[in-house]
Amino acid sequence: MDDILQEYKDYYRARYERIAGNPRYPNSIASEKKLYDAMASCNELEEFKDKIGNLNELNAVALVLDQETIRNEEYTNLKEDVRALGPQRIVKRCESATTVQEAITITLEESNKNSIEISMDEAVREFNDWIHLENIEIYSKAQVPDRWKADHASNVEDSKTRLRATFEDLEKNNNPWEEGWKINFELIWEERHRRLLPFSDEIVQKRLEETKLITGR
Amino acid sequence: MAIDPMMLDPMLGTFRTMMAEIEEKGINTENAQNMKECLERMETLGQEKSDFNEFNAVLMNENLFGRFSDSYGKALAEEATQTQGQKGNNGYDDSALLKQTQDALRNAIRMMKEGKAEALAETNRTDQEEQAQQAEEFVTRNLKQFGLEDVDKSMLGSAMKEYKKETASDSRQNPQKFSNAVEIEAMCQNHTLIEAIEDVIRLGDEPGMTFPRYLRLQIERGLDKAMEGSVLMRNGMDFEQGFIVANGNQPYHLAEVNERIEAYDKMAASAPFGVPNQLEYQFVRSSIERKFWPQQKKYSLITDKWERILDLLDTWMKAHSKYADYIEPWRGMLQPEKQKAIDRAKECSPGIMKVVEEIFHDYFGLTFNDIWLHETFVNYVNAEYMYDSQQYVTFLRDAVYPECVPFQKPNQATISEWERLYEEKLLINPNVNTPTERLKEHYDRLFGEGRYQTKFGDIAPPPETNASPWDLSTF
Repeated sequence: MDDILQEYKDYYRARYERIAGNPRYPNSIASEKKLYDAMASCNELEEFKDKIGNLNELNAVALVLDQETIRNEEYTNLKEDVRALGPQRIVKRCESATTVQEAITITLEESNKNSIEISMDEAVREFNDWIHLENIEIYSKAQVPDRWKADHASNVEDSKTRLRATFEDLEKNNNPWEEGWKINFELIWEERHRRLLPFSDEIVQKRLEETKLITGR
Repeated sequence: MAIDPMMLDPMLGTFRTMMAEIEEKGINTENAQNMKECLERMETLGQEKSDFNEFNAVLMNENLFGRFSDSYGKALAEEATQTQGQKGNNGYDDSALLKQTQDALRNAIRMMKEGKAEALAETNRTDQEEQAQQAEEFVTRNLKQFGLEDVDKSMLGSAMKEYKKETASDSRQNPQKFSNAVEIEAMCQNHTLIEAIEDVIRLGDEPGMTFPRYLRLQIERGLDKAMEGSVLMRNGMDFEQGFIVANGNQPYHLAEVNERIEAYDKMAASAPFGVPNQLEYQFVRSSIERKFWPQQKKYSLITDKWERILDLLDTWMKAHSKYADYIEPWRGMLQPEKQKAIDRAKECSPGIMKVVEEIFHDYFGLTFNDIWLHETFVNYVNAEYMYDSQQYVTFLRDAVYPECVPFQKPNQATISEWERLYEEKLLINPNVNTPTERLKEHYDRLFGEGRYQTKFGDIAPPPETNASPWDLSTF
């Protein structure tokens, strides 16, 4: 049994040493240290039952705190403000958690909530497809003989109708997810959305104004 | 109307199985009750809602998946604690702990092997004719969801009949087409994970092994990290890279995946036991993808625009030729629509092309003359994606474009030259099949000689052409 005790001490030391070198895991380092210290102070294996208390539970919570802190930092660096909301709330709520199950429940709740926030936020990217706007520009501006002008005007109206329908459908489909959801085109200027449009600000502004005018939104 | 069973059953199937497992185990705790309530709510919503989006939205807003999974985990944890307690507090049992862990690992291997066997059995079992029949019934039941309410039912019926006929014929002539067994065999990299788990099991089976030493050695030898399966992620990147290379015209996507591989290998080289921290790698990957995204997107948008310009020049010339009635895109049309379409192409293409050119310039600062040296054009030609021959594109660039002005017709000499190119079969690039051949070669390399043919059929024979291959040095 003495050998087993020593082997457990070695095991907890190995766990601590593995994480100790990673500064991005401060909560886990502290927690693993506590576990190792508790084990190292035992003279009998039986003592560990009392000394461990809820350290194992807290150790799991510490890992969640570290991982979600990393996620928050990384998303913030990438200017993914909405994606960062989930980790931020998990960290805040887990700071007072004392069991693995609490941490799991919090993580599931907040991840689910965040996934809806992300979907609603990224819905503005429907704007990124300019096929209807380009067709409107082409059929409005193209110089053609008079006999084709009615055809072109009809194409323009058709594209406008399709564009309006795109955002009407989007709002209709998103309302069950978030009551009263309406498109906010200004979000397109946020870095997380703007980065997806490889055009100058002037071009994006022009297409944005056209979209707002046509859709009345 | 309820959610169609073809959509509802796969979605709730897993939860029903999990519930059945808890009931079979006789677990009747508060958590089991929570699971039951969540599942009942999902089932009720499945009957009440007819719109799948709305159904999904309620499920997510009420966090039913999360709550169910949470309670499932808790119910199993409670059971495990209870079982542990019933085994008695007869002191520490090292061999029992070791055996429990080893059994769990052996069970994991068994499940992985069964999973692969089931996937293979499923892909070979599927009856295509039966599946086509089910697809027809599914579409018929959900016309509104598919926006087909106003479609002529007899037309729809004919289309479905044709689809079933083709499926039946394909299925009989080439049963391998519908089976993914070859792909599953080649891509299912279970053996890598299984080997890693077997290493751990071997460690546990060493004579005199104790539970704490077993756990410590896993850490010190990195065996637990190997079981995380990060090698599969690395293999996945190689797989992706292979298809990008075979595509031949995705330079920024290739640069992106190369940089990801390099970053992964660098992280692996400096990580203990060669396994990068997966969370940290996830964000490194994200940064690299973001870096290349604008270039990738711009590359494809620029290509789309000059393809449209060339297409308009091509259509304009075809419409003016004496062959317009007999060639695509008008050949199959009936009069008077056919003549109207040809006239529209003749009279409207120049005006439309000028606006497309303006957009091309507004977006990217590029003009018609910039196309030919642009990387998108050079790569496109070098990778043999250009359907038109070099002679023809030269003609479009030098002779047709200057004449393609609103309200103008091409000169008769230009029309005659187009007709000559058509008659002498000089319009089409002789290497137009090269991208498909390249893909076929890569596919066969991955999945075995001849697999591309059995999966996708014969490559269509190249169009008859007397044109010379592209040579950009003379363009």
